[in-house]
Amino acid sequence: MTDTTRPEVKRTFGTHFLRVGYPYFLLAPSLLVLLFVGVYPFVSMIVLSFRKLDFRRLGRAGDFIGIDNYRNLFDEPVFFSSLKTTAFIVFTSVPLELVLGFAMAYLFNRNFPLKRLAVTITIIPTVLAPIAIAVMWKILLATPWGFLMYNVFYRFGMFEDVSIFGSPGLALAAVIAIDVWEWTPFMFLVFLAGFGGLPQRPYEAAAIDGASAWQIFWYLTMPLLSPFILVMLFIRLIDAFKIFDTIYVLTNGGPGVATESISIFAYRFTFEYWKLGESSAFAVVIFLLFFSVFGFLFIQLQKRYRIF
Amino acid sequence: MFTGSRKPHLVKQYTLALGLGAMLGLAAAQPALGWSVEEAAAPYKGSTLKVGIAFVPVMEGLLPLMEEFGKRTGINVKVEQFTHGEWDAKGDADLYSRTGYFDLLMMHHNRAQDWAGNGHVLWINDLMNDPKLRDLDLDPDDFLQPLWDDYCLFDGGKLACYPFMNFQMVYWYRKDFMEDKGEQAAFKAKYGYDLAPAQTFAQYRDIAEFFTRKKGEKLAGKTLEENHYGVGVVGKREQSLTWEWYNILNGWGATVFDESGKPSFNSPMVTEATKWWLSLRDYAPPGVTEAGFIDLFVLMTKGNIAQAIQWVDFAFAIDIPAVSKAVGVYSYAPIPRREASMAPGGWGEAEPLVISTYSKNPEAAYLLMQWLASKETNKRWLEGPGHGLPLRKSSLSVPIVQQHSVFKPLLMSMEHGWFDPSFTDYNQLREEITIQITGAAAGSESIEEALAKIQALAEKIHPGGDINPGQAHVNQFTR
Repeated sequence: MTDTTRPEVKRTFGTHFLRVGYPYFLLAPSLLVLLFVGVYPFVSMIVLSFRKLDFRRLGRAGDFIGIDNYRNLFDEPVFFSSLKTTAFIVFTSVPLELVLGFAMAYLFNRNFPLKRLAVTITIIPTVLAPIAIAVMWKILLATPWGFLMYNVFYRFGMFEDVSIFGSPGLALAAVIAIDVWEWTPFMFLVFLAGFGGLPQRPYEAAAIDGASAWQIFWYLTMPLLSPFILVMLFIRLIDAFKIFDTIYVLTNGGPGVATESISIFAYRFTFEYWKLGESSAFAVVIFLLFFSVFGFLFIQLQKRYRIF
Repeated sequence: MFTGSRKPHLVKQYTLALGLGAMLGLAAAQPALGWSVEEAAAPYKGSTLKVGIAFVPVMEGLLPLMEEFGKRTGINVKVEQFTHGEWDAKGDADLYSRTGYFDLLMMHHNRAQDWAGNGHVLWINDLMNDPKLRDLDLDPDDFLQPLWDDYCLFDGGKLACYPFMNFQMVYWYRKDFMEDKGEQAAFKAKYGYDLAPAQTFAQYRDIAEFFTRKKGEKLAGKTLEENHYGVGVVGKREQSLTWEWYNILNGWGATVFDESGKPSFNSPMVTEATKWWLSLRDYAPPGVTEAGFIDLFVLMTKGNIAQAIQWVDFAFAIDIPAVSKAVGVYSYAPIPRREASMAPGGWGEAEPLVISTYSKNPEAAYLLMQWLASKETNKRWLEGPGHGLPLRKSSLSVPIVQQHSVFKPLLMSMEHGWFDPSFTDYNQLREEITIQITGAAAGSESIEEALAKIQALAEKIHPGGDINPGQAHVNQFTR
């Protein structure tokens, strides 16, 4: 008769380490990198936001000044106007991108000649560098020498007294339109992949049950695609808040502060004024704002839709 | 009668004295004759110099000269070029982070306080006085002013830089239109005086109005295929807006900092001048508020702008047929002012070269900056392809300087010119000017409100005192 019982492993520090610590051991390099490139700079930034910091004179962090940097920041009216402008851009452009991207994907979700070529051409705006896009639109729409303005519109006597990037309302509209032009294809591409991955059986069942096209879309397609929609919305909201390149090239935040986003504001304070204490305070405030808004959104998405 | 034969001993003595004098003279002159950049640079052969510059049209002629310096000395010269906006941030970042990536940096001279005053760039007196490094033909008195005294010289005789560029703004006008008999007669009939390049702002406005014509109308006997504008104006929220604004204020006789350095951005005169300046937009192309100085230049290359205030270095670029439809049609004069009797002046930027304190090759860097500012190099730059800018009095005899109509107004512009003050945080004030003026121009607020906000920030940043710290002798706004 053979003994089938497993030999008892003697519990030593080594075996305990292997059982409990091994996963952490494997994760350690990544955690260390994260610590140095993420956590350390972040903590350092928080510390700097409470100090008088002027590299021009000191080259190092100066005296502890309490919340003066935060006070200076909140005394700056453009800080609040830039937040408002950014929110306006984000909450106008992202829904538009979402709807247009979804509609385009819906239309492309069938076979037609040269579909691949059409998809490739459609996504070009998204794969271009944002700075190149900004320069391109400037060359097209600058008043009055832009290619479109000069060679097309003026020839037909259109927009002769209009300055797109020089009028507060139009400049902001142009920034939003260019953002929509740039990022709608990204939405389109992801939704197209989503459409391609939808299971066929529910559609067959719906067809047998005599569901209308609208019912199929609303009760089948939309619920099945909702994780895609929410993830895309989440990603684009975060990304759109960082808008910089287009504005920097086209209007530099002007006229006045009509198109000044938070990134332009931060750039000014950091690399033009070298107010690094205020800039650090700004970064902390923006982080807290983002963390609370998107953290809440993230938790809701996890709870309700079990995504992420 | 004195003859050599009658007093031979004296002749002998004179001959000996002359010979001795000649020998002594030659000995004294030996370093001047013997000094060469090749010999001075020999100890640094093989080293590498990194030079950071902002690209401007006239740089095209200077880059081959830098290359030549490298070939002659064996010092590797690596030039990195950026747009002005990029370079401002990069140059600052390089010095403030103390990386020493760049050895030589082209700087806006108003950075002097932040850079030299805080020890980020070297005082070059020691290098300049080092007999091994100093070109004995350097002749600092030969530099045009204010390139040396106002931009580079600090109190106590400390020197921070060498002249490198000499940008000035001057008045550009279409000489072909001004010389057209039909236009001259029509102008005189309408305004009661002869058509000529504007000397006063009133004339500037009249010319602007007169030459603003719609597509299909006639100009100088030809039917216009597109709208023509009487004046080019800069109005984008960027640095160039302040240049043009300051030119107007200077010509108006307004000042923005008084003798004690107190700001006066909302004085009645500044308000009046600003309103007048903004009123010119009626005769300018649409889109002034999105036009920086580069955009203005692009518009001028299309040939439908009668006059503008623009930089001198673009005067060479506009005559290149590949980039311009307006070849040979512009001429240049001093910037107009409120009264013809007032002394003309214009906005200027020297953009000298400085040596980074963190440079590993300061001696080699010094040799390059000295060579670039030398009499010989400046003349060659001016005579070379693309032309250059005069840094020295001795360069004024170069044929191109005598012949090209941009140089005379350039020199006049320098005499009573304004330039950016260098007190700390001036950049923030400058940005505020662009924000408020573009906001007022776009109708978001009144001129008075805009100027009051500029004044408030100016009082906060610089309530009084030297506007160029460390350079008490310089007040460009009150001379």
